[in-house]
Amino acid sequence: MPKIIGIDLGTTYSAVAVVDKGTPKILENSEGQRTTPSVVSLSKGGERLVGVLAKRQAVTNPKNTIFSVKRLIGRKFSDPATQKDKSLLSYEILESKDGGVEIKMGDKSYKPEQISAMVLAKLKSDTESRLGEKIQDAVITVPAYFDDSQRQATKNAGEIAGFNVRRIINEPTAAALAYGLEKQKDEQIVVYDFGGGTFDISVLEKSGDTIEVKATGGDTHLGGDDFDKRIIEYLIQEYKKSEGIDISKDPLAVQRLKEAAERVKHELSASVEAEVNLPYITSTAEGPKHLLIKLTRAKLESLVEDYIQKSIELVLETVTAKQPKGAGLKLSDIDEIVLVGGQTRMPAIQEAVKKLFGKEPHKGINPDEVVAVGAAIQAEILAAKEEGRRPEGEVKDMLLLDVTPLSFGIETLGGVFTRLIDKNTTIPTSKKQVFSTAADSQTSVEIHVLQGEREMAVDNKTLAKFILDGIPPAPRGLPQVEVEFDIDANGILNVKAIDKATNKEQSVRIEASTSISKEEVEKLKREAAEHAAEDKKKRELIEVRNKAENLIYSSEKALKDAGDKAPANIREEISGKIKALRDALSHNNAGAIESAAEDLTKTVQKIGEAMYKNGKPNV
Amino acid sequence: MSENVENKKDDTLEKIKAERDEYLNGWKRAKADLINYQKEEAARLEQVAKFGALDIVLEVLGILHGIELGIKTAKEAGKEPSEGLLMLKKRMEDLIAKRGIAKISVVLGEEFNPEIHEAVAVVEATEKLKSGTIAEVLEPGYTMHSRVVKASKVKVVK
Repeated sequence: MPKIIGIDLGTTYSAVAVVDKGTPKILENSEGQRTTPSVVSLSKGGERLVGVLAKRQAVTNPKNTIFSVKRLIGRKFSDPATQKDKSLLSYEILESKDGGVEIKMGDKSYKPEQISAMVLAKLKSDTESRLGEKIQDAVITVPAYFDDSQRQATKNAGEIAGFNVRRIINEPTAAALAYGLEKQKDEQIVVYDFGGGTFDISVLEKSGDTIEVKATGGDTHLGGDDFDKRIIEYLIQEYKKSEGIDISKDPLAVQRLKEAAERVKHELSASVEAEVNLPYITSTAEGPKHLLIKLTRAKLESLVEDYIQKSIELVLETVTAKQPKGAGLKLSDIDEIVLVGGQTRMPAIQEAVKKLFGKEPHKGINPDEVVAVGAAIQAEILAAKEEGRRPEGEVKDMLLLDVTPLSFGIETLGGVFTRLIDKNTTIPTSKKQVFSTAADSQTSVEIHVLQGEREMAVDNKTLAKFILDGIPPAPRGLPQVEVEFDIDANGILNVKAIDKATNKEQSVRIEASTSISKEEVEKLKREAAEHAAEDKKKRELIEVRNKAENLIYSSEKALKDAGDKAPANIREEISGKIKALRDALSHNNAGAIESAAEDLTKTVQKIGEAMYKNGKPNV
Repeated sequence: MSENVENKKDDTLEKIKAERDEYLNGWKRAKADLINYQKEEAARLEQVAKFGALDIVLEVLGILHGIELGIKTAKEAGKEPSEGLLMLKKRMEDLIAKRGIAKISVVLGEEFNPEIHEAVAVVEATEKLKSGTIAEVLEPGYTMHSRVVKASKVKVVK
């Protein structure tokens, strides 16, 4: 069963994913990264480098370092977009004989698909070493606006890299697949994709088994990198204002600013204020200079406000403009919105999108990885179809494993409900726990089986009660009674109690333990939530009481065991403290019980101290 | 008539057999999935244990670089760096060494290697400075359990 992988071949970064046991996962490259820069270069030594290595040497070798080749693939040289990009690229591009684009790298010229193929070949070999098997088949994604020629060129790139390209799918469609939107009823979907270097909007229509692209829009030269640049400019300006020094010409300072800008941008997605702290950023005749600038989320938002505004206007246009410019829909026609691309982590963007549509966008999956994940899901659907099986992931939906809607447990000392199986545990399942007796010479225990979410047994539903007797008389806490709960796949609960000393056992079978009506489950959960605080207090009080009672028991035993060896004054003191603790217990105040118990604990230790002191000369 | 019943019996038996096989298969698969999952999880946990601290390590390396710049700046101004600063530096170096992190050593004049170096600027070649070699280290690089987690930032001779 050869695997089919999903590839997001991006303008700046690419990613690979595969569905494994029903779950899509991103495959790391040989450098241990989840995404690979889509950069290729020919080093001065004639060595071909791909990915992060190519990126690292870019400044030494700008003419032979090829990035953003996706902007050129499948385009004519005369295409206005090609001409626009030409001025922005550091490498040389020429017109090929057939009117296409050729890229100069070293002494040779390459077609854009050959360069893309080099990126794909690295992804292929890294994936093979990660999975430990040969990979032939792949699904590759392209932007929704790619025309036939661009799609064909991407497919060719895959074939040159040694892939059998099973399908070319649209990036927004992949993102929708990642969120399982293909399983929904017919609906309209907007995919808002704000990547590092490009901004794409797609309006999709899900109807029957197909997802159709109704309109695309965006700005191919707007991305998260522009946000970083704004932050860097701001920092340079602020520093100039406060220190009168221009650090924009110092390569080390700029390098540090770049990293700091990216970091502060990420931090401001999680917190409302962050600090750029770069000591020794430069030095003057007066000595070293440092850079310390606070940046608030509001400030960042004001720095990039126009970009966000522009993106929202583009969304509006793509959704509402008449075809072919837009989808010709009303904003209220849109059922789902999917966020893609790292920049959509920015809260202001999420807010702006939400405000525009009046509904929450999908954003749970890592926005840098969601397209590759969708491609992997498409790959799995293809593989399953060929093998005549259901796609993994759906298989699990077929084999329905229930969960217990409520917790199961038994009543323990003081009327506390002790859970053995928690709610939402997948069944079949079983759980064992050892309990003991509460009194000396107790020869039987009552197992009170309950179901519910409240802390006290009395507030939960009794399922059964049974008695295990014949326990040999022993001091309390010594006998070991193992209680086992077992729920089978049909929801039948078996509760068994065994005395470990005699192997005597008792059990009960409770049919249909999980068949509580939905309403009842909801009611019980609601009640539990309402009473949570009060129940917890009650339970804590009982735990404190249980501890105190144990302490009284062991103190009295210690007194008895020590007999005359303990001085009379200490014996009296302990008896007094025991009485005080008993008093506290009768008033049922947790704080008072705890402090009286602590008092008693300290006093009881005096027995030991006194006995050791007395014994000393004999040693 | 009796043949019909026989046929029906056969059909039922076949159906049950098929079901049995399906269930047995499903069960085996589930067991195998669990065992494989456990193995993968163990391998994943090992990675997490090794590289789980990477985020914080990178932050610490940034701070360490700040300290190193402080020491360098003092020396360039002809001053002795403060002893406290040197001690802080030592402590941080010890800390990262314990985490399996090692500084990538760079010799000026050695050839640029993108496996361990990241070029952030270029300088013109001179008689002394050979093309394609390293002219200056701006920020040291580090490996963690022999994986490059931060390349040395360098100036390269054009």
